[in-house]
Amino acid sequence: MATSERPETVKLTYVRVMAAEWLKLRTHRGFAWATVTAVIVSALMSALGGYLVREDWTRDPAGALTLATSAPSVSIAITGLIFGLGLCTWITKEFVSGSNYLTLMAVPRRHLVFSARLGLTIALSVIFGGVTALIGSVAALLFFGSDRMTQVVSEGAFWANAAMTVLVCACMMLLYFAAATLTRRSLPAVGLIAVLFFVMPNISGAVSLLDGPRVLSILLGYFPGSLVSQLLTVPSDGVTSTLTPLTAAVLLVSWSVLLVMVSARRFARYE
Amino acid sequence: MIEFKSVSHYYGETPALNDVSFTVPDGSITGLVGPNGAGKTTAMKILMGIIRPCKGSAAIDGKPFRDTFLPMSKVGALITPEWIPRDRTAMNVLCGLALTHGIPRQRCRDLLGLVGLGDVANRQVRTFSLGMRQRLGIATALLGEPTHLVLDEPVNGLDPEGVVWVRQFLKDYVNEGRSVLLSSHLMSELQNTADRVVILSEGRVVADDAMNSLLASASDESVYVEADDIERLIKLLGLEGYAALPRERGAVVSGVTARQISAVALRGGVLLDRLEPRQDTLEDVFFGLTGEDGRDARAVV
Repeated sequence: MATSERPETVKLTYVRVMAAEWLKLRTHRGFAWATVTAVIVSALMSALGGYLVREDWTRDPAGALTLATSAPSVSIAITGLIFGLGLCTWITKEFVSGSNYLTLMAVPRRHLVFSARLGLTIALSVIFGGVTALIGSVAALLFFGSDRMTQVVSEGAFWANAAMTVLVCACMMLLYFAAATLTRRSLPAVGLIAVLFFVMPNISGAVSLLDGPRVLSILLGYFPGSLVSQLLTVPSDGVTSTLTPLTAAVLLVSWSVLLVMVSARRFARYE
Repeated sequence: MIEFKSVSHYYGETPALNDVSFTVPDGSITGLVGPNGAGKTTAMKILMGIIRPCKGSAAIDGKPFRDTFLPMSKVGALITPEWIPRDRTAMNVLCGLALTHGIPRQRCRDLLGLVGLGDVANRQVRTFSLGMRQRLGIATALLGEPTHLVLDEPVNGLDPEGVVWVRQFLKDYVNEGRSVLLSSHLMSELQNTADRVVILSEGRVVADDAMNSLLASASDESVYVEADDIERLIKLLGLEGYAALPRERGAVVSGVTARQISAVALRGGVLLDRLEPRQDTLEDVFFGLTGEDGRDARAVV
């Protein structure tokens, strides 16, 4: 016989679960370190970028302008990788320490816990992207001057890159999230991300340089790392840019959604 | 009411639970005992939705735990204090769980005070002793003021004061009509606390009864006796047809009442120093039913 049932007006809601997850995340030391490191790296890279572009501006204004429109995207993507590490270690720690079970005894509906974490990841990646972009702009402005900054911002390519950067950042976070939920351990999760973002593009580049099978090079170009390189208009890595930006974006989103769905299924069956 | 219906579970090929059925009635403390690997923790994990059973089901008030409305208000559980994250403070751990159910922060403070952790609420769990983590685990279980409690070895690592507190708390708790499923290796403690007992051995239920009736049914009528001339008394009892086994300074006599022994002693002129009807303890019943006897091993050592 129940003697102290809580009133039926109190519900186990998505927002409540998300708030609980946020409390856990913001007190996770690894997340705090990763965030601080990412912000510092972002500021330093932007400042350095601003300084280098300023030096080039008098010699090659067109080249400098192109660099100025694309460099911030690369900076944000790199800092996103660092920030993602914080998210990744938070999720894996929940599994490794067993505290996931404590959560599931309070919220036994796995889909609710999973979607709250996913929502938190998406919200944080958007906020993080905005904050680092702001910090980066201020840092770059210090070296770059407001006139040149205005010129860069008025370029259509700048905003196209900005939109792609937001997309890339969000997809990177989702891939981190999926990798952490799938592997449940930090090292394999980071290893998976490293393979997707660094190893495969380099293999693709090596295959092109060594005149290897073209089909392999093209195939590797469909993996997330190569797609990100293409989207952020990075001419290095020897990536064969056979895809339009839209196709690359759709493929990257598809990769993220696919891996998130696989991880959701694994989490739903988690014991 | 907590109910296990024909629950079976395997870890690979190894059976952990084999067709286990029992109930935990409202208003009772049910003790779950068994040797290591008997399946106690597995049963609790299945109840709490942590493990899906291979067969059968476990339900709380007729519903699987995963389907309960406001789970923390229905069941509070402490499976192991190892699951409490160590890099967070006690207050933070409780608040993290409380947020999911809209439980006010003040309730977390009150609970930490109740379990004796009020002074260390803002200390990281990594600095806690096992007993302190156990207390925090009990606080997490009580957070939603649940109707049912599921506690796996809750007094493990607690000081004597803590053990007494838990015992009294659980008795008061079930007096309000709630139920407790409690596992413990401390048989004497469980005998003092539980109203019912379920004994598991190799994944099967070997006993499921009220504590008093289990102890009574398992006990054969025997009496421990000490006398000024115990050997003579043993002979006199033998002549009357009662088997007496010498033990320590006296003897254990089976199939006899204390009154019958005193009558024999009176007739034979033997002065009795001690006359004590024996009842099996939960430990005796447990070892008798599970076929394990750690006491023999201790005697050999």
